[in-house]
Amino acid sequence: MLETIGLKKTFKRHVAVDDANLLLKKGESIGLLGPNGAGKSTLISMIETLIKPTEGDVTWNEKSIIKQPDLLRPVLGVVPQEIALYKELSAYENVKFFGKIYKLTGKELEERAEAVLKLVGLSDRQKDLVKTFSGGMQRRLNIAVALLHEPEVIIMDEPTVGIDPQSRNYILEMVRDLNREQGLTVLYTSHYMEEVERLCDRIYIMDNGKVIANGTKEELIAILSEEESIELVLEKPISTFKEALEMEPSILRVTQESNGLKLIVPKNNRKLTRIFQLAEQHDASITNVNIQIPSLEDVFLHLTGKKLRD
Amino acid sequence: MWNFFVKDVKVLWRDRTELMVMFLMPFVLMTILGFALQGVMGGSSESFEMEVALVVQDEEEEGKEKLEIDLSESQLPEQARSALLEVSNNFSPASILDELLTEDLQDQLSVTQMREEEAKTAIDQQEIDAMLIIPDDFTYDTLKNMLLGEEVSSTLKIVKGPHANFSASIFHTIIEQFSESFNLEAAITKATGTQVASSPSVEMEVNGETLSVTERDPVSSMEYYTIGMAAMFAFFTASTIASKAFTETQQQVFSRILISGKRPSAYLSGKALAVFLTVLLQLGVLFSLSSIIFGSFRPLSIEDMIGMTTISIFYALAIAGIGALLTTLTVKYQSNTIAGVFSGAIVSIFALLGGSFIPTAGFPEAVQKLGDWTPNGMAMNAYMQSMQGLGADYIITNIWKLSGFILIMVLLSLVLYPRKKVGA
Ligand SMILES: Nc1ncnc2c1ncn2[C@@H]1O[C@H](COP(=O)(O)OP(=O)(O)OP(=O)(O)O)[C@@H](O)[C@H]1O
Ligand SMILES: [Mg+2]
Repeated sequence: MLETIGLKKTFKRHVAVDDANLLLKKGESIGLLGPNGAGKSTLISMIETLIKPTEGDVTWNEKSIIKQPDLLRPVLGVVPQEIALYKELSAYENVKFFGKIYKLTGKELEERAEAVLKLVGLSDRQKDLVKTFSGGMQRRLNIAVALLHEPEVIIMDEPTVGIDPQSRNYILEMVRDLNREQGLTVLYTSHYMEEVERLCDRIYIMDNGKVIANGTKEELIAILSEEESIELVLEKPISTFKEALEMEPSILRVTQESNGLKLIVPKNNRKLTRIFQLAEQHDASITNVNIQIPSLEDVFLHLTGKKLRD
Repeated sequence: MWNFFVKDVKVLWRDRTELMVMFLMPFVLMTILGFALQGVMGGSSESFEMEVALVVQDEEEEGKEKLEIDLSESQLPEQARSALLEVSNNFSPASILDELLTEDLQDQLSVTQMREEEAKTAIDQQEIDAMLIIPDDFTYDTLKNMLLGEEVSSTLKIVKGPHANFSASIFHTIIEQFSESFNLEAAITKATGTQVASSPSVEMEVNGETLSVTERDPVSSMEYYTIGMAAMFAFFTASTIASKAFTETQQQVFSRILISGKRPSAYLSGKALAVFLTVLLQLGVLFSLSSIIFGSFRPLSIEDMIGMTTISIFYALAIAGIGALLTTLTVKYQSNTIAGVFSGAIVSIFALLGGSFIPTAGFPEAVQKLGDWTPNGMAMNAYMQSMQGLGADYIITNIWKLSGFILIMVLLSLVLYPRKKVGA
């Protein structure tokens, strides 16, 4: 069981992480969600024993690992946000090197190397230099290396950043299998809502260094249970129309979407007629209307007042 | 450690740019410098004895007075003028030459002052082997060259008897080396002030025929620059390994290594070993190429080989020490600045002081002393001494110095290496 208690990290004056309490039970899959600069990487660096917290504690099975990092290190696998590999070495040479720093040798090393390369689907490219790999392949190898020593806990920092949907899908499936079938405990950082929704049992939402909410997907959505969202698809954006909607007391929030506007309104009180009236007044032509129950994305918006990504 | 070493060597060796810096550049530079600046070094180690006549046509005091007048009439600012005057008062090229011949080289030379006519007769009668003429206005012209940067050539002239071929050529080399040292003084003047100067040239005449400098065997200067460039470029291997460490911190590979719980000593010694073997190879390749292509270091005796190899091992260890320290500082501060400053500034200073570009013999005493304590200076001194057959005693002093240097590097690296955690 991995736990952070009142964890805080200050860089000079800037508070990167503030009073973070996280709990990661054995076999659980936890998502850490937050926009750029929320403090996700800083928080997990402290858990990974890489940087010292300014305040607070991190415990592994109830023992502090601030003073004894070696309690956690051997059973911890990390997937850094960067591609933490030697680009001048081949996939196989990388796997060999990182296997050896975990004291794997001989036949065991060969077997583990083969196994992880197969797991990430790179067996037939293992002789090639990493710098010749595509972004998705590099990301996959980045994960493979973290699994070599069969860790109990794996911490992944945005492992799917900047790759094609296919590679991303592959990685998500793989992580889910590791968690569900092999009982690997997972802490997964991302700013992709759908990834955490798909993978994680529980979700922590971070903003400005603070954990502002946590719970299962359903619990988080319940925060907005009294609301629903209306999506208006517009022929072209009309700013006066948006302003008019914002002035309207029965509409809680208006956000700009790529093809129109999104409105959050109280449940059972959607004044559609009023909306159409305003549209007519401002010459806005509505081509489509969708009424939805709120998504996690809406919850995030509700909590932080901003979108996960721009 | 082996694991780290294998990885570091592969990463280093698969980088084409690095390979060029490690092997191609020093080779090109040593070739250029070796040919362009031939005659700077007297390479021969054979002992010799000869009788020479010194013909002084120069009037030292008169020359200085003339220069003082020139200085006072020049457009230079007051500060510079008085500084130059200071130099001119304390610096007497002709006296230094005289001192070199009659004191420093007293075991090899017996010097008699004569007039030109007397000396000519003496050569014909084989009483002396050669004469050196310090021409009229030598002091004036040399100082003018050095201090005012005016292109006035002053030619030291050697006339040798046909009976004294071998020893006379050594004598010629010595005089030439001396003359070059004025060029070095000039280099310092240039570095600190504004003046550029050329050294007085040396001519040798055999029965009236003048030998041009290019006809001399280039090997000795080639040897010098082989060693000089090899010693200098070894530094870049150390800074390269440190920049690779920087990449490791940036790409968070270093985090992975930290989390694995690996001892810092394994990481550091892998780097140091990679530097050590790479530098050893660098030195070996450059020395061999120089020997094969330009005929340097010949004849090659077993003793020479042992001497050179021993020095190379210690020098490579010293560079490995520098590599370890640079790596330590790089990962400690997660910054590439340290390696950058080292390769950009410190290497240049070491190269100059240690004599990689020009022999230090012409530097002021204090600067020379300083140069003798730079790692490349120690190594170069040791190589030179070994090549001149000065015997183990001389070399050992420099080996001791290098050992001390290595020890300091290792201790600093281990003390400064960030334990367990990085960052604030
Ligand atoms: N070493 C450091 N020194 C100073 N400030 C830092 C340092 N590391 C992080 N920060 C600051 O702390 C804040 C949180 O950074 P962090 O990298 O943890 O965010 P993040 O949630 O991982 O963002 P992203 O999604 O972009 O990776 C940022 O404002 C960042 O500038
Ligand atoms: Mg991050």
